[in-house]
Amino acid sequence: MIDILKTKFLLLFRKPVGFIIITIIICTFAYILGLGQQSKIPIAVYSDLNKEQTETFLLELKKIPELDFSLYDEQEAIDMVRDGNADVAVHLMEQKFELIISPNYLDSALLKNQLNTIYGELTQQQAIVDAYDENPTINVEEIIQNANEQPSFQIQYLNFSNDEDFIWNPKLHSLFGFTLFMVIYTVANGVSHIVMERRNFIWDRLTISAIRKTEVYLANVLYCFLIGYLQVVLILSIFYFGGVDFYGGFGKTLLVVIPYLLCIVALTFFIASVAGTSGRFNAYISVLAVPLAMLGGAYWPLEIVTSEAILALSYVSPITYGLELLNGVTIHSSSMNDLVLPLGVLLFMTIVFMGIGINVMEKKEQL
Amino acid sequence: MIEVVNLTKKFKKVNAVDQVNFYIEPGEIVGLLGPNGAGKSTTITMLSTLIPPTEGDVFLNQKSIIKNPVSLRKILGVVPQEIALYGELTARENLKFFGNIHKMPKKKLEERIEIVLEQIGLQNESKKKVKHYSGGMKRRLNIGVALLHEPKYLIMDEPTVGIDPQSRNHILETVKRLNEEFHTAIIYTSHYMEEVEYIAKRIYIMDKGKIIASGTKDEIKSILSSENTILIKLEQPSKEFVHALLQEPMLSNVNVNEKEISFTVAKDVNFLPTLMTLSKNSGVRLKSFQVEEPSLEDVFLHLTGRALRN
Repeated sequence: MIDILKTKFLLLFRKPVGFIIITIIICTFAYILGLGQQSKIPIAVYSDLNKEQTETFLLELKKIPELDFSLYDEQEAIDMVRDGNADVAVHLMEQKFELIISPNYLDSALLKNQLNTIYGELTQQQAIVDAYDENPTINVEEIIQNANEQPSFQIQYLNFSNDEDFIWNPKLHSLFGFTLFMVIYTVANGVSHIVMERRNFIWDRLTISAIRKTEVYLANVLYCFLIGYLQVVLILSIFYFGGVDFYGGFGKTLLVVIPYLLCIVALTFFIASVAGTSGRFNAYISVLAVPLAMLGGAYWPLEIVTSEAILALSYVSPITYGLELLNGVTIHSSSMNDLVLPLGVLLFMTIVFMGIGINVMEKKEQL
Repeated sequence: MIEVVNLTKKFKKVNAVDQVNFYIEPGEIVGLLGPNGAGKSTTITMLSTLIPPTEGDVFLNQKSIIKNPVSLRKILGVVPQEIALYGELTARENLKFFGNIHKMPKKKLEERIEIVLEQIGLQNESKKKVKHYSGGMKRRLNIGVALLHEPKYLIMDEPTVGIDPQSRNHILETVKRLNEEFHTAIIYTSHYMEEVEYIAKRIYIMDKGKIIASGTKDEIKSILSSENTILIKLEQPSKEFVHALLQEPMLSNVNVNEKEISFTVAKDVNFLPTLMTLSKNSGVRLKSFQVEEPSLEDVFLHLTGRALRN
């Protein structure tokens, strides 16, 4: 078994172009679609507050990194949203605010939350200033600082995800989505060796050799898994050490990606068994990988999908469960219990696809 | 000894191999001759324990290898028709890999690699990637891989397909040397009757899944012992003359190739005067006239009514 593995890796080192190209493609796409989203989303602001209060609010709003707040007249701001020049208009009022949101804007819950926080802080500061306004001996700034450091109430959002709102990080989503999608091609490239070896009778030489058939299959499964895993580890490490926040779950991502990769190896084995020839195998992989990625939420979060049919189909894509696991151990900080279902489904798929795949391969060999 | 008894392989409703019986003694070369699609490859694939037969069995020293394939695999080398090698690896790396999967001890394998490279004449090219080899060199290495574990029986499936005459000769000489020096028993399949005639002592002729003739070369040729094969060459092709020959009742197996015509005729018939009359009547001048010894090709033609390489 070790000899087969060693030879497979030797062949990979002799011809590494495919592996390198796919790695570069994943990094590039993840960067462009995730990290590359540096351009700020324009938000139009109009205000009923006085000039001083409005400027104070704007200063705070501009601290939100991914949004670009600009002040307009009421009509201008509404026109901007209507014409599609801004996704949101914020109406600043005493003690409250209003949002005028375009249907395309997905982060309204997050924005509301951020605005509530800013409103809370500024209102508290204003209340302190108003309370001590007539007493010049008291240092108001010091009181505000104390109030910020030691608030009367500590409110902590442990989990604010529910059926209507969801948390997602576009940078991580692009990274995870494209990695899980494109690694299918790397694994498939490994499996295509088996298809070729079967066609040019190397497989026959292995069959009548002294090593057992189970060892031959095991070596091939292990090789396909390892090249996929190597690629995923490489890509996630590049982004992790490049500064992407994994919410403290980087190590766990390297673990939970294992069942996903095993499932992809099994799926590609199954496709190889059905395809028979190298050309057909490549065609099937090309035709299947993109829909699996789209249905599995690699391009966009499934939470924004409204079609019941597509949501139902998403359950058949391993990418759905792969993303659930990766998001679970990073942005959602899920417990082990929450991960049992996607883990179970992936293992089930692995067993079914591998079982059918190897059986079909063996049956075809006997014909 | 390997014995093949009533070996049959059905693919859906087609009998690719139908009740085939043959045997091979240790140290002999047996030729399996037949046109493409005769069932030779399917027969040897079953013999190699790669696919099970629909009916029948293969026995090694009277023990079924269908039930216990491992016993045969240990002493069997198979040279497939296709080049079953890794193109990205060198000859030496290929040999090392295939030796390792036979679980050969490291030192023994190193020795065997040197011997095999010498046998197949690739010592000086052993560090070159196989993808850069010529067709003949690949074929030689394809054979070399099957020789690594010193098999007692070697199955060679059309090992000279698509190569130049020089490499072909080298392969045929290697096969002969293997048999003479190492007493390796060889089952050699081919549709080139001159190859089989050259190296095999006993021959089985297959067609449409069945063995239609078997024996030594002389025994097989004796099938045509009562007939002579006549080859005539014309100065120019003539449809009228060919038509006249085809009408002649004492001739059989008339084969026309533009200006060359061959046919068989009973040995006790003096056909020459008739031939002269026919050529005169058709206005054709004969360039040459030759009586040939029957070849395996003639036997095949006689038995099936078709040429071997059709």
